[in-house]
Amino acid sequence: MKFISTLILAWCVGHVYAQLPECVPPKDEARLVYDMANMLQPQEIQQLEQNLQSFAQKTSNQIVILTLPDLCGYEPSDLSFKIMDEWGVGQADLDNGVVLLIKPKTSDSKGQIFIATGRGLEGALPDGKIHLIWENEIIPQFKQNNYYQGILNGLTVIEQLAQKEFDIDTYAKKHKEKKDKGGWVGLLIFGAIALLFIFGKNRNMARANNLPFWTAFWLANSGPRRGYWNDFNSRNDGWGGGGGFGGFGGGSSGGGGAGGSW
Amino acid sequence: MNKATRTILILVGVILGAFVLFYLYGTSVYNGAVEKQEAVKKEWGNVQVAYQRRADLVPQLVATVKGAKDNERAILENVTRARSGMSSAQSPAELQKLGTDINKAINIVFENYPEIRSTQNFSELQAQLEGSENRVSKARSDYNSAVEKSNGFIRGFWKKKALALVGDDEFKVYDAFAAAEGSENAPKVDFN
Repeated sequence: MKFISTLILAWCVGHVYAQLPECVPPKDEARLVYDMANMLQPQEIQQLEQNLQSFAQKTSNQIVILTLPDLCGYEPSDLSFKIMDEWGVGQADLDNGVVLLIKPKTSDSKGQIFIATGRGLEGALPDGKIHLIWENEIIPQFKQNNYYQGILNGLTVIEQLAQKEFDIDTYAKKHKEKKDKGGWVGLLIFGAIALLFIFGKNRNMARANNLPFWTAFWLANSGPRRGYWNDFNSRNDGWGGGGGFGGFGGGSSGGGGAGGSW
Repeated sequence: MNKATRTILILVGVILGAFVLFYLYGTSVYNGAVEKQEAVKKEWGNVQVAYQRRADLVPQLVATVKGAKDNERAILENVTRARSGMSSAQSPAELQKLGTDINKAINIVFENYPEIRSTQNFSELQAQLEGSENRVSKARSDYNSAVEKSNGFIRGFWKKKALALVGDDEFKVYDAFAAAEGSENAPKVDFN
C-alpha cells in the first residue's frame, strides 16, 4: 500500500511541476478575462468578458485576456505560449486562440505586453501586424492609463482580422472530421475486468436475493448514476453547450505573436 | 483429477494468462511508442520550419538596406547554403550549427549597416525577427519535451521488456537540443 501511495504521490508531483508557474491563476472553463493585476473596473471586466464570449461563440476563435502583477521571471512571450498550450486556448483542430498578456507598469519596472497568436491565426495576424496593433492601438491608451480603452481598441482590430480566417462554418466543417484515437487494448482489458467485476457482483446478488440474474443486474446498476462517468462521457465533445463559450478547446501555440513594453 | 494435477493446471493457466496479459500490454505499449515517436518527428519538422523561417528573413533584411547590394552576394550565399542544409539536417547539433550561420548573417547586416534602424518598415521587421526567434525557441522546447516523453517511455523497465516481446527494436532514443551554449542564441540586436 505504501508503495502504491508513493507512486501516486510521485505521479502527482511530476504532474504539478509540468504545469504553469504559480503566478498564473488556474484556468476557469467559463472565463476568458483574468485581471489578476487589478487594472480594470468590475464592469469593464464584465464587458470584455461578454465581448469575448460572444465572439468565441460566433466564430470559435478564443481570446484570453490576462493581467499579472509579475511574470515570475518569465519572458512575456514564453509565458503566453505556455498559457496557450497548457490551457488549450482555441479549438484543437484550428489552433485559433489568442492570449493577451499584460504586466502593468510599476514605479521600478516597465509595463509589458505580449499578444500570442495560435498556429492557425498566424496567417491572419502575422507578427508584423500584431506589432502595429499594440504600437498604434494599445500603447497610446496605456500611456494615459486608459487600460480598458487600450485593450478594447486592440481587441476590435484582432477580432476583425481573426474573423476573416475562422468563422463558425470553418469550425463546423473541421469538427466533423475529428477522429478517435487508439488505446483500445487497455480499454478492452479494463472493460473485461470491469465486466467480470459487475457480473460477479450481480451473480452474488442474484443468488443472495433469489432473483433472476438480469433482474439483479438491472437493480444493481440502476439508482443514482455516478457523476464521474457522466462527466467522462460528456467532456470535450460539446462546443457551445451550456453557458459561456463552452470551455477551452485545446488549441496550441507555434510561437507566433509580438509584444513590447511601455 | 487429483489435487496435484489440478494445482499444476491452475499454475499453467495462471502463467499462460499472465503471458497473454503481458503480451496485450506489450501491444498497447507498442502503439504508445509509435505515437510518441511520430510526435517527435512532427516536432522535428516544426523545428526545421522555424529555423528556415529565420533564414528567410535575411534576404528581406538585405533588401531593405541600399548599401548592402555590394556584399549581398557573400551574405546571401551563406544563408542559402545553410537554409538548404536545414531540410536534410538529422540531429539537433547539426541544425543548431546552421542556425548559428543564419544568426551570423543577421549580425553582419546589422553591424555593417546601422542605418537599417531608420528604414521605414523597421519596426515591422523587428517584430518579424523577434517572432522568428520566438518560434525557434518554442519549437526547440516542444521538440525537447516530445523527445523526453518518447525516450522516457521506451526506456521504462517493463515497457522495454514488453517491446522486446512484441518484437521490435525500431524505436530510437533521440537527442534533445542542448541548453544554450551561446552558439545557438539569436544575435542580440540592440533596437534602441
